[in-house]
Amino acid sequence: MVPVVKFRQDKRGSLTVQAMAYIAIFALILGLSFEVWKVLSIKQSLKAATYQAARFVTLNGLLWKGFQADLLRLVIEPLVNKELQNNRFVPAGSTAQVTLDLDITRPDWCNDRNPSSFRLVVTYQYPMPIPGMGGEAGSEVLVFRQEEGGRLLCGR
Amino acid sequence: MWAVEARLKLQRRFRRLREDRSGSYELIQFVLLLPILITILYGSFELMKLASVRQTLEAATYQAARYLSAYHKTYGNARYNRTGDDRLQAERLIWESLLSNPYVVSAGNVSVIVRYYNGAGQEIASPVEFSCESLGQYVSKDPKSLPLFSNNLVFTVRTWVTIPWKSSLLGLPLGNVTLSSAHTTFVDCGPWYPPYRATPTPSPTPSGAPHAAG
Repeated sequence: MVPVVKFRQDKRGSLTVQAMAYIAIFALILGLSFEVWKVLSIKQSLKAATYQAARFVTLNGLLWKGFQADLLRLVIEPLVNKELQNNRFVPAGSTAQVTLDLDITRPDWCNDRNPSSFRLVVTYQYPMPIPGMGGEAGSEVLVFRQEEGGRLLCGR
Repeated sequence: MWAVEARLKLQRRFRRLREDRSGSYELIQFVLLLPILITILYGSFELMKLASVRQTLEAATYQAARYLSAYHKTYGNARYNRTGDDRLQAERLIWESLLSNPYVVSAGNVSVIVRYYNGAGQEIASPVEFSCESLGQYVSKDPKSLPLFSNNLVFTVRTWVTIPWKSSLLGLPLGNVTLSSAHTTFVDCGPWYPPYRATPTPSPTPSGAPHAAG
């Protein structure tokens, strides 16, 4: 017991101990702020990507009637993933999952009372590293989900 | 001899200063911390300037991509056969956006590079050399043949700005920082009406009488 009591009563170097604790907390806050910034930036990119894809579907959806899978594979997925990869915080090679549901009114394509519509859902899984813990065990997978929907525009 | 005495005197004074616990302890601590605080404050201001220029660049690139997406001379319709240089107009938008930022204006010569890439990531001269009329024909005939075509439908505008002032962050010199931004969009051909359909081609029936397909 005596060494513990002596250590507790010893006031020498208390400022150093205090400074070390503050520096560690400051570094942790700095690291976490950086992570939050990355997450917000990726979320913003996903939103921009989904918006672009939704704009394409709105304008061209009727043209691709019957070829929904091709529309998704050839245009929407590359568009979304390219926009995501423009963000340097997005790990290279990681991709978003896109689902598209086209509801085309028949036989009148441009029925104002019952318009053709679409729903686009983009999901992206981001492995967020936890500071101080490396490897797969040290990461938490964040799932971002962005949804857009609307009418399929009909040129007149 | 006098040198040794002077050294001993100096050492004694220094020891006294170290062991002295009287006086304004907080003031000394503050004076020691002040340079660090000033460095952090200056670094924050530098960071704010860079963030401001980055934000402007982001908006400018988006505007240029949006412009090229919506306005281009390849609608395939004579009515829309525009004669202006689309790229020039888009790059003017970038410059005008950047020059609306006070930090860029006061900095003087800013170097801006704008490049365009197709869907396959290859650099292209102009992203809008694309025939919308052909898109309709391709999709309606056989969308399976579209991969190469769709590479030209999607494009990316990427910009780099080298800031003329030398930045430093928390005392670390960063030199002339280059910021970049990119946006991906598509050549806007729609909306379509009526749904584009290929010309019906007669196909033989078992009885030999032709009927319209599609």
